[in-house]
Amino acid sequence: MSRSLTVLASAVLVTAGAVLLGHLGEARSDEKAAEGSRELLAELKSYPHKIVYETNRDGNWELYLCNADGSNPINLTRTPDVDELYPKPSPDGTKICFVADEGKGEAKIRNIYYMNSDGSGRIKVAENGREPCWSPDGTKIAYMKGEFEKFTYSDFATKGLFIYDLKTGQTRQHVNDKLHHLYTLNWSPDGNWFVATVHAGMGFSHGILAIEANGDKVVDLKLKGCRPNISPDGKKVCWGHGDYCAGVAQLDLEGPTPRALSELGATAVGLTVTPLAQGPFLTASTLLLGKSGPRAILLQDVVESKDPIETYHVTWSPDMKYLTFTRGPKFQGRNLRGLLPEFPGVEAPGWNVCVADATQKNRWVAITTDGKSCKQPSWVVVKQGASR
Amino acid sequence: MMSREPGRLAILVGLFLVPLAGPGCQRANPVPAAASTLPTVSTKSGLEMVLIPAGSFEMGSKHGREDERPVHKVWIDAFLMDRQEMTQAIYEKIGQTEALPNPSHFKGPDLPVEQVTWPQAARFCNARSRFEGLTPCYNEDNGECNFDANGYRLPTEAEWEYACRAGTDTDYSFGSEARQLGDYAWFVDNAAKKTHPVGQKKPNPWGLFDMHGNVAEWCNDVYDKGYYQSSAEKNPRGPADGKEYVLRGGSWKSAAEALRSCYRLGESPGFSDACLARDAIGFRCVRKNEN
Repeated sequence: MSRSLTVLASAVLVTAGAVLLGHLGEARSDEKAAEGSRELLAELKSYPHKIVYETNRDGNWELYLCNADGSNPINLTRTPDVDELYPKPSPDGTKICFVADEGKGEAKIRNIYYMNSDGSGRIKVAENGREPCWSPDGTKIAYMKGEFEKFTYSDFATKGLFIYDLKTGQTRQHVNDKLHHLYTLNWSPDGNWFVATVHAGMGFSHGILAIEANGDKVVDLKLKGCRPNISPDGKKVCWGHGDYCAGVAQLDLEGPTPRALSELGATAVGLTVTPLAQGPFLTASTLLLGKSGPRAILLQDVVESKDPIETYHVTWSPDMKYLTFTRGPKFQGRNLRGLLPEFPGVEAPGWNVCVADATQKNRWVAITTDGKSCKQPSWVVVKQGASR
Repeated sequence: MMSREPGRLAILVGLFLVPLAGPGCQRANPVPAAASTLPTVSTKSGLEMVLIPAGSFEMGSKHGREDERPVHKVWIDAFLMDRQEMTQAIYEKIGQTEALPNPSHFKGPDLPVEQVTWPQAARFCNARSRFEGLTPCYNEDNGECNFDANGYRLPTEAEWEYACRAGTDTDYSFGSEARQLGDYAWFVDNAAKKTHPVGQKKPNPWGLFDMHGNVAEWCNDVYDKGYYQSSAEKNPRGPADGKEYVLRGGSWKSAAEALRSCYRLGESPGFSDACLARDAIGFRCVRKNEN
């Protein structure tokens, strides 16, 4: 009983503290303030591209679209009986694919849909699917099948990579039918690779893999951490290494020998990316898709937070000037169900969407402030001339 | 489909009954019972459990690390313990019913499940209880264990050491000669940097396999290095709170020292870590003896 009360009290305090953080990255006393956050917010007011994210405001999950500075948030989904999550905009910004948790209790199931970026024209892609991503030309959606018929929030409970063709409505399985326990699927801009997190799959303990799109080659990028996102030019990757840090690395997926290079350019097979500072932090790293095989070179850490504030879900802006990510208090309870705030559809009190300068460390600003489980953000391309 | 009807366990009594010591016993069990003499139970999941007799023993070590002292006498009620570490075959079979993915790095049906967090292990205990029609021990909202329930749970640290020692008071359950460890355990000197199928090495005197090595095993207790100063004499259940939980037995990664019967280790349980990737951590289940 005393253990439960202590945990409950801790959770309440952490959550309350996080909610009080407020706008402009006003930092906790144990965190370095987000330098230049006011100036960054001013920059973002004129930035044309938008951000879509999942949020739970009244017990139901919806997808919201807002400007880069967080202004003008719009509910794209408005479905009180369905929980829409994990939005991934198409490369041209005209569509968004996402997962929807539908049904209750034993009948609950996670399905994949896509829709127009204004929320209209919803089309089902797959039942019991997760972790969708777009082909570089926007004509296909790749996704992982759920491992079980029974619903689970577990991120790595996936089995089989499938590709859906928007034009024909047909689905085919990837040539490598052994792919499993992958999440945060990305399709490289050249169309030749998938990049994803693996946990307990294909002989790997945990890490980030490059997976041949039309073959069976699987390469360990030797980046410690999870949830990678490939830059629009295919030459960088950002990811979270650890629960508190987002980084950027160069990415090279073209060569014959998978390898990682140090920041100084020395070849180092199997390089383990090491945190650049004491303590946990979020880094962004660049992914090189070069002729020497898939490899990644750590460039810099972009955002760093400290326990109990976690950093997750980092993604590139269309011009690679910014990253968007989420930030909020670590789960402090002792439930056995593995319901962690970073998972799609799991409540994350105090979590907000933030934007960081991709070229500097810890120059970031929170663009949502209500702490209503605002997470899984992605940039939506807005073509020049389109109204904000 | 396996029946979920509770009870009706096939108790396979061996050739000889084990003398059970009472709570007033002043001596540790002096003579380890031979493996074949302990009753066993075949569960509905297809696992064999050994009925560990009630008794008292000297817990800890005078010559070990600080957290192993002081040596203190502990009484343990009889309980059932899995003869082997939890295999991936069983984890997947039961996990299928509750959507629990196999978290193991090294894959194989007879290999022990690993990369398992404490909450995943406890959650699996509950899933196994439901699978067999028993009452789950763990509250899945807060991790509290109901020791009165008849379902599966993780062993207390004292139960684990009592079962590992199996009546011995030496460094290992087969004596104190580490050079014999290769006959009983997979550890850093012979494991070739991976786990191995359970039950390949010699068992301890009570017929339990891999109590030394292969994967380190989660216990139910919170870890506190000073706990032996205040531990209860009868069925101790560990401190009320703490950041780490107890691991016992050492693993394929461990040196001989860490495989000693009394060696204690505290480890983050992983309540907030979805990506725990410690491929040397597994578990085995225990259950209340109702007969």
